[in-house]
Parts: sequence; C-alpha cells; structure tokens
Amino acid sequence: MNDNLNKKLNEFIDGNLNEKELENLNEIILNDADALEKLKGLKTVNRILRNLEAESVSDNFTQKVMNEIRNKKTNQLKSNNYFFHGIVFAFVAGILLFTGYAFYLGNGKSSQIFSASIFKNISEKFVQYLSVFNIGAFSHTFTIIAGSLSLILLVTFYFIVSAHRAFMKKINQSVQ
Amino acid sequence: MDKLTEIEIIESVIKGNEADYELLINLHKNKTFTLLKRILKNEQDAEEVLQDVFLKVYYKLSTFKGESKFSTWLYKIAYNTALTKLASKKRKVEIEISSIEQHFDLKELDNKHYSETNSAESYLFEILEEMPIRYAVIINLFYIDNLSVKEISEVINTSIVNTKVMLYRARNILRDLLVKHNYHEELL
Repeated sequence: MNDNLNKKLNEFIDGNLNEKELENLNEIILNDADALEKLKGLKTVNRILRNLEAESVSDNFTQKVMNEIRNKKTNQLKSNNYFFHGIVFAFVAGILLFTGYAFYLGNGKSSQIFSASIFKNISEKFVQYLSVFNIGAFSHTFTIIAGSLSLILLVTFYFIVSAHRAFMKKINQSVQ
Repeated sequence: MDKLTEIEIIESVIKGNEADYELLINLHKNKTFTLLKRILKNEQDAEEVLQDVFLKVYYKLSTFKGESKFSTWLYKIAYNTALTKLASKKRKVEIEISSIEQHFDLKELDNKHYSETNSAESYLFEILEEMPIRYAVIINLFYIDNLSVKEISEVINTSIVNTKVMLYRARNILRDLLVKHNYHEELL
C-alpha cells in the first residue's frame, strides 16, 4: 500500500497520472494526513531539484582539449613521416642497386668504380646472387631493363613526393 | 549568420572542420562536468575524465548515427568512462553498478549536514553529494540535463522500469529527510 502510494505520488509529480488516477489520489490525500505530508515533501524536493544548476569547469578547458587533439594529430603526422621516409629510402636503394648493377654490367667486371675492394666484394656477391636467375648471360638486355625500371622508379618517386607534399600542406592548413 | 545547430556542428566536425568541435565542447562541458563530479565526487578527477571523454567523442564522432540525442550519447560515454576511472581506483564500484536495492544510510552525516546548512536547498544539495552514484546520476540527468526516463535508462544501461524505480526511490529518500527536519513546511 505504502509503496503503491509512493509510486502514485511520484507519478503525480511527473504529471503521469490519468484523470481517474488523479481522482483516486485526491481522495486518498483528503483522508490521509500522512499521504498529504508525503506529497508536500515530494513537491518540495521536486521544486528544489528543478533549481539545480550545472557547475562550471575551468575557463581554459576547451582550449586544453583542442590543444590535445592538435598535438595528437601532429604526432600522428610525424609517425606517418617515418613511414614515408622508409618508403623513400627503399626507392632510393632500389634505384641505386639497379643503376649500379646496370653500370657494372655495361662497363665490364673490371670497372674502375668497383675497383675498391669492398665495392668489388659486394658487387661480385651481388652478381653471383643474380646469376642464380641466369640473367648474367643477358647483360645487355638487363642493362636496358634496369635502366628503364630506374627511370620508372624515379618518375614514380617524383609523383609520390609531390602527392606527399600536397597532403602535408593540406594537413598543416587544417591544423592551423 | 544564424547559429549552427548541434547536428550541423557535428557534421562540420566529421567533414574535417576541427575548429568547430570547440562549439560542441562549449555546449556540453559544464553539464557533463557536473555529471562526472556526481560520480567521481572529486573536481580534479572529474575534469581529467571530462577531457578523456571529449577526446573519445572527437575520435568516435563519425560513429554517432543520430539515433538518440547527442547529449544522451555523450553522457553514456561519460558515465562509462567515469565508472572505468572508479574501477581503476579500486573502489567497490561493482556494488554501485549492479545493485538496484542500494542501501542509503547517512547516520551521523545527516546531523552534520543539517547543522552545517541553513536552508532546505543547501541541505538537499549536501545530501545529494552523499547519495549512491546511480541515484545521484539519475537525479542529475533528470533535473539538470532534462533527460527523459527512457534516455536515462540508455545512459546507465538499465531498463526503463528500473530507472523509474530508482528515480522515485531517490526522491523518496530526499523527501523523507526533508520531512524529518520539517523543511517541507518551510517551503510550502
């Protein structure tokens, strides 16, 4: 009974009672002082709580969050940059290897460029490695292929760098 | 130029206009802060979690489908982040989370607050600070954020019926304390 009364009183406070339920509640309140007391109390609670206000967070809070977002973005850009540098390095290494090897084959194995012992050793090992694929026998053809591939790689590299610069410019503009 | 609506701001941020996110923060920071303070009972923790919440929301914004109000979605993230923070502090949060039959006994604290305050309002606000998390959250969302019972149930992830029961119970607790100190007469 008490629980039911409490429920009805709360529903009354929230305006959720229909006409019949209102009449019933009215009758209870008229005949029960305790119920009236409870209703008064609830009305008071409701009135006070309606005056509750939100508290203010510190003045520079918004700026702190925005700075954090920008810092995270910058850090992400930096890590993307490392990845980009890795790709550039791989491209440069590939181009150097191709052109180097083409040059080596084109000028004969006694090229002066490779006369230093360390380069000689490396280049000989590289040739031995490639001989597995039996391309040594087609040195002239390989020179042409290597030269063409180097050119393609250089052109691709140019476009990658251009695209990356455009992307960085756009990102920097959005961060500012 | 007319002010941007909340949905327009959200769309703008998703499109990449990061600066517009400031508007969204300014719209909701104080109410969310108050909610977090109710849960964490500490201003510093509340501000720290609030920052985490707005960072999370920024990165999740594209997943907001607009099926509920943005504030409901935001408060849900805030509520869960605050509970995680509480759990990390090794408080017995599971008792607070799972129990619907929450025991609330102020004992000597009631007399302390009653003697330290001089009006029904200030007394009630002090009591609100002592209430179990779920009750305090429901009161906060209902009265400060004007969320419906259904929306509150989405935020705290419980049924509408349970939410309503808890709202009524919280109000009854406050009412009984006011009646005990005859404050209800004072205001009528």
